[in-house]
Amino acid sequence: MNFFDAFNISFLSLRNNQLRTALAMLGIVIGIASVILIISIANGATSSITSEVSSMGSNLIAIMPGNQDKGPAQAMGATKSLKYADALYLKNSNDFPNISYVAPVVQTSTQAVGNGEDTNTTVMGVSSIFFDMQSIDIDYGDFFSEEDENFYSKVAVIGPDVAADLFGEGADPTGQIIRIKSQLFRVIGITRAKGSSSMINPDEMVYIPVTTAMKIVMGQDYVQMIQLSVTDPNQLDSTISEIKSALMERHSITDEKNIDFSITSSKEIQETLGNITGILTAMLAGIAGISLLVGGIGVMNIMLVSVTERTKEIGLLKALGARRKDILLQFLIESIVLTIVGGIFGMVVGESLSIAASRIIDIPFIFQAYPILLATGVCVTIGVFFGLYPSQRAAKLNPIDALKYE
Amino acid sequence: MGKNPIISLRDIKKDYNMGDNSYQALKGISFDVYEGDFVSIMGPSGSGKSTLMNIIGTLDTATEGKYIFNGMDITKYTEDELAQVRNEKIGFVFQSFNLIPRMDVYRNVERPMLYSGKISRSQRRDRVASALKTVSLEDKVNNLSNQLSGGQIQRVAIARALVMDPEIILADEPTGNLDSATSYEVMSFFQELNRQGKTIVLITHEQDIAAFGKRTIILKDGLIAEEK
Repeated sequence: MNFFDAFNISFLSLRNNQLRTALAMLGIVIGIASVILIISIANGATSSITSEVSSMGSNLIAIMPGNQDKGPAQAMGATKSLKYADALYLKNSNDFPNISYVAPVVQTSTQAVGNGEDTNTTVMGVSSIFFDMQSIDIDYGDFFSEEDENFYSKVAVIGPDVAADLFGEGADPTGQIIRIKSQLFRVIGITRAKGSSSMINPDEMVYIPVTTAMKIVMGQDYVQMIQLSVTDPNQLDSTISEIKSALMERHSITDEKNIDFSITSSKEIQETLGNITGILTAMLAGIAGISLLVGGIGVMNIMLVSVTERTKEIGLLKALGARRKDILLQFLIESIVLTIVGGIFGMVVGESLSIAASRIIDIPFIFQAYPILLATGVCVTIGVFFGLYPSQRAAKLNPIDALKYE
Repeated sequence: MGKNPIISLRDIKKDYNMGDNSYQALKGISFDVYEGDFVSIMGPSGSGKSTLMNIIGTLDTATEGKYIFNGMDITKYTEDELAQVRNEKIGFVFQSFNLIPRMDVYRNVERPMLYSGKISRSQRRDRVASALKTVSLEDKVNNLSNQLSGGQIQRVAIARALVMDPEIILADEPTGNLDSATSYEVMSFFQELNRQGKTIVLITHEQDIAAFGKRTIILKDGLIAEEK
């Protein structure tokens, strides 16, 4: 029997048992749809996170106090090892030609009071250059300047959420006075709404000059972070090692084990996030793969039922001259057609759900060919793998026993 | 009747092993079926009729003895070679008709030709039409089996047996599920086919049906009891 005739017979047989065919396909449809949906959501989420991290730029370095290798207490920035003077040194030294900007940062959670209202906020002491480095835009007023930093000015740039909490939605509070830890600040600017990112919400911040924050508000000489940007991102690694050596010398540390600061780059964060999302995607796709496996077992089950139900027919076909391979081919094609048609439905359902999901959870929908190619390959493999045993069982039936079967 | 035997059975024995016990269904059967013959094989239940039919139809092989089909010793043929003999040389007609359910008359009659792999689509169409004309069912080509009467279904099965133009027609109790009027109608088809030169081997336990043949072999306890 040629392949076309075998396909024709298999197709007719599937068409003649529509309910059985539909039920067998359902498992494959669900399996393939969930694999495609999960891969698509994971890709969308990865792209969303990646673009958010990339918006930081690939040229940023962050120095934190404490040694990340020594456990969470130090890694959280609970040590006082990183001084404002370190930031000034990195900024003013000629030893680091690749460093373009240096921005020391301190922060504290506190209440801001103004216009008779109060709100919980995070006060960040930053350099004027910090706004540029973080791509923060201004809606009303202006950012503070380097001069404000040098003169310990009591000025504040506030996030739109803080402005709304204290002065009402849509108000322009520039020139108004707010109180932070019993110090009065003049609001000179409102940042443009950015929305919450995965880690922080810049709209809920109050930014004041770092020097003012350290000396007047917090009374400390250490910083919680020094942010730097480099001119040439390709030399990021060598710049990091230069900074490391210089700070070790400044902190009189000779052994790397005793290092009291940690340096991370935006590139490193991107890589780490990439790894995490990759692992999550693989894990979820694995779970979806299990449903595909269950679907495959469903196909095998239905094929076994079909072989039993058609035992007498198989006996007849053998009497009419069908060879083992003819019977095997017929049942194998049935199983493959079942899984491929189920797979096509699954792809359509999966892609449709992916588009719907991307709209609902607001992540980009990224159409990719590889999940479809993967799904097609998986369908054929499932069809062959789970169809082979029932088909072989059919092919091996003794024609006399099969003809007698009732 | 031609002089060349199409079937030559020589001392055919068939043993069945059932656990520790063995049972001999055929104890040494020898006879010839010639071209144009119409042989009825009769016998009570347990006489070995069905076993003999399975061996003649190459669905089963003998434990001992020699089976010459059309001059070829097929005793040691492989499973695939026997399938080819069934496909090209033997046309089966069964008691329970055995049409493929939910497929129309055309696809049922066409099916043996698909396993030959040598017959084109247009040839298949012509052959189905011709076989259905022989059994006077050319107008039922698109009907499903549940739209046909018992007699019509058996005639479709005969058309299927004829479509490969086999050397012999092997009919196993072909009237067993039919009333007597339809039985005679079906048997008269077989007689007509035999008159046109077809060799027919008929298995039956009914004497009046066996009487349609030219020759009757009566089996008893796995042996030929009588030949007339």
